[in-house]
Amino acid sequence: MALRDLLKGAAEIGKAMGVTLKALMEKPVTVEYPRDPVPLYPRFRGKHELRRYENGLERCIGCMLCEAACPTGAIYVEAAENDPEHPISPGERYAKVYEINLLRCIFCGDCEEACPTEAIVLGHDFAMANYDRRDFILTKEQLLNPGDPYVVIRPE
Amino acid sequence: MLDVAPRVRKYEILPSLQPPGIPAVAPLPTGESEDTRRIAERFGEAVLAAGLHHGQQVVYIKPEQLVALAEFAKTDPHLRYETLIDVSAVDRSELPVSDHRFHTVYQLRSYSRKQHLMIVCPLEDGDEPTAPSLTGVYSGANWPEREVWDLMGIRFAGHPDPRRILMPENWPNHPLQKQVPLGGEEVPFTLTWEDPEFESLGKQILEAKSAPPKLPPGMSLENMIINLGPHHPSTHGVLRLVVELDGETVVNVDADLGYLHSGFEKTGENKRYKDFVYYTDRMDYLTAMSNNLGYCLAVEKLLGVEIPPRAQVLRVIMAELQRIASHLFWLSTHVLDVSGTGMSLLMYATRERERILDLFEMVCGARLTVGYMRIGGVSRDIPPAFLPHLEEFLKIMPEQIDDYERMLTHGPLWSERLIGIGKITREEALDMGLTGPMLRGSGVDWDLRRDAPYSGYENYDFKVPVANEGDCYARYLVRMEEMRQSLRIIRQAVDNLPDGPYRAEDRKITPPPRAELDISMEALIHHFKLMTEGFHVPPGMAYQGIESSKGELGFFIYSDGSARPYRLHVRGPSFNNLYAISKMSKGHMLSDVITNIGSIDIVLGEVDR
Repeated sequence: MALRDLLKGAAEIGKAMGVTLKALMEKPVTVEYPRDPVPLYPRFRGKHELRRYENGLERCIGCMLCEAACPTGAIYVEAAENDPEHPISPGERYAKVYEINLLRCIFCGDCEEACPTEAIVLGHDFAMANYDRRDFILTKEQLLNPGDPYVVIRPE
Repeated sequence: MLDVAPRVRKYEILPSLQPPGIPAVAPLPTGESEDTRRIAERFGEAVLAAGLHHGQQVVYIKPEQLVALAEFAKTDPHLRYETLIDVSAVDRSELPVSDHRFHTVYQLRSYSRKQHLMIVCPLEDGDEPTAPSLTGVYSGANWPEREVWDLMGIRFAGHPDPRRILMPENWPNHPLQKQVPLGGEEVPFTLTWEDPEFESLGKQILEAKSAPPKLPPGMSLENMIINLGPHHPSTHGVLRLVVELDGETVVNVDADLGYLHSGFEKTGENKRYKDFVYYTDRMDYLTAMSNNLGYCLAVEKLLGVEIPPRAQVLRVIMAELQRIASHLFWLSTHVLDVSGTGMSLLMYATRERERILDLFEMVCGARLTVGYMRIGGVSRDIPPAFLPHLEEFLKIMPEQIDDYERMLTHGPLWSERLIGIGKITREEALDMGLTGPMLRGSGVDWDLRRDAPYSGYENYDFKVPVANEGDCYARYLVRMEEMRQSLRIIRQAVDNLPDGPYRAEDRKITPPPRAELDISMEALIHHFKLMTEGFHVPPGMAYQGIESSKGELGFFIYSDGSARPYRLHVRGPSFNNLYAISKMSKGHMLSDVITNIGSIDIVLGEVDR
């Protein structure tokens, strides 16, 4: 009886080893990050960006709807009247101050959903580590010039 | 006393604009059902109101008769409410009422008759509001009642273990009472960064005052007392178990919770309805989709909004994918805990879970904290590449589950560690209020998806796996089979995916499509109103339970008619199931405690909420 159990157990362990042996033949599914970039999908919700129109005008009209919609209060907008001679945005007003506190942001995408002019979007940058808490406050300057993140976008 | 009592911040006293008639009290139930009539006949004067409210059976009972009612509901052959699902309480001090400040709310469930009963008990006012304890009738009331005492400050007369459960012993208040401020910090921006208020940011480390922890009741220093956790990889998070050992045999286990308590309920009561969807992601972070679904369903029950068929099917696909992902994670960590040699299985299960997370990323842009569902539907339709990827997943997954089973099911190490460990009988499971695989592993044939269907689950053909042994091995078998059944449900959902809108066309609840914003003034107004004020929910209360991967996830919402929930309570399956750890572990070896924790399948984010 004991011998039979032993043999049966050995056979079961052999079967389990078979599964791992099978995996030996397969290609690895892991990515050598950061040497190789991690592919993302287009809808990925990463670090925010402020967009412009093709003629260089800012899309943001300073309506503060993103600030109101934000569940955690991580956005601060201050609007000002546009100078008709040198408008910054096509509307009557533009955002004088636009800041996002990344430490409070939960990347839910409600600002994107709320924005009537599609000015604020969640980009694809996910490497947001920093050394100082102050550096986590994105100013308007940084939001308008996000730079190219080190990511590869997969087709949807 | 601790020196961390929250201060009232200036943003908390901003005036809020409320239309007249708000806040309002939830209306009393109307009409009657067979059960409420039976209870009203039996208790006569003591029943203050009984009937139906949003399709739920509700009974208002005087506190003197509460225990008698619970006993009657449990033992009466026509009622047979075997299980107490949940205990919560409402502080009505901000409602336009002058008496009965506290109400305790109980959810009872009859598995044999497929009935749900809500009992509301208005407590007498006084310095110390006291409710009779139901622990004598349902032992599962123990932890939920401790939670209500801890967070709401209601005493339970006759409770065997009236300690705080989530907050520290010396916490100065009961956070869910309405007069207790929310606390928290203002968000710093560059213009306010120099404000002295933020000087303490990131440096709020409490001075470690070393005090010998009290010995949990029922334990004796005759034996060895050890602390398992809170920093132990096998406790799946910050769970501290105080274990009394005689040699290597466990005599007693006491769970110390609250290390990850983040006040989700209090936060939810200060957020608009739409905002809390993202918070639910972070409770049980392995089943974010199910949490989204449960919360949205509870609010939709109060709103009475109809969900389009396509949205319902999409919700089912996501919830079932999430169930598989959660079970895969449970399996891999359980194997790692139990045998210590299951590294390869951890890798395989993570590989398959990765495919599911990829699918989530494709459809909503996030992998863990998805925030995909919205009140009234889902946030976005699926992209074109979603279905081909899902087909591929459905094709390879059954084979992978077979592989896992090949590595474990008959393996001598696996069965040696699991069979006969952590036994729970059918009666104990019902008495302790266990749900999910913990209940089905003990021979109770119950699944909310089949027996109280929501989100169109009645249209799918699937089996509910049940095992009678009640040990860790039975629960393992149940969960493995559940993954296969989930695949079946997804298969049927994909085959019958209807066309149509992915969220309700009710402009009072869901925002209009973006294309309409540029051409319709009305759409723009609706959009602005929804994004700023949110939507108002008619006064009432609703409990909605769904079958999450870990058990019954319930949301209890009391609405006062405003745009924020007046009271939001979460019934977490991990919290209620973890109560069984003491019963399961007594008399076994210390190493079996680890097996039991893995077998209960807890996520501390939800236990502590």
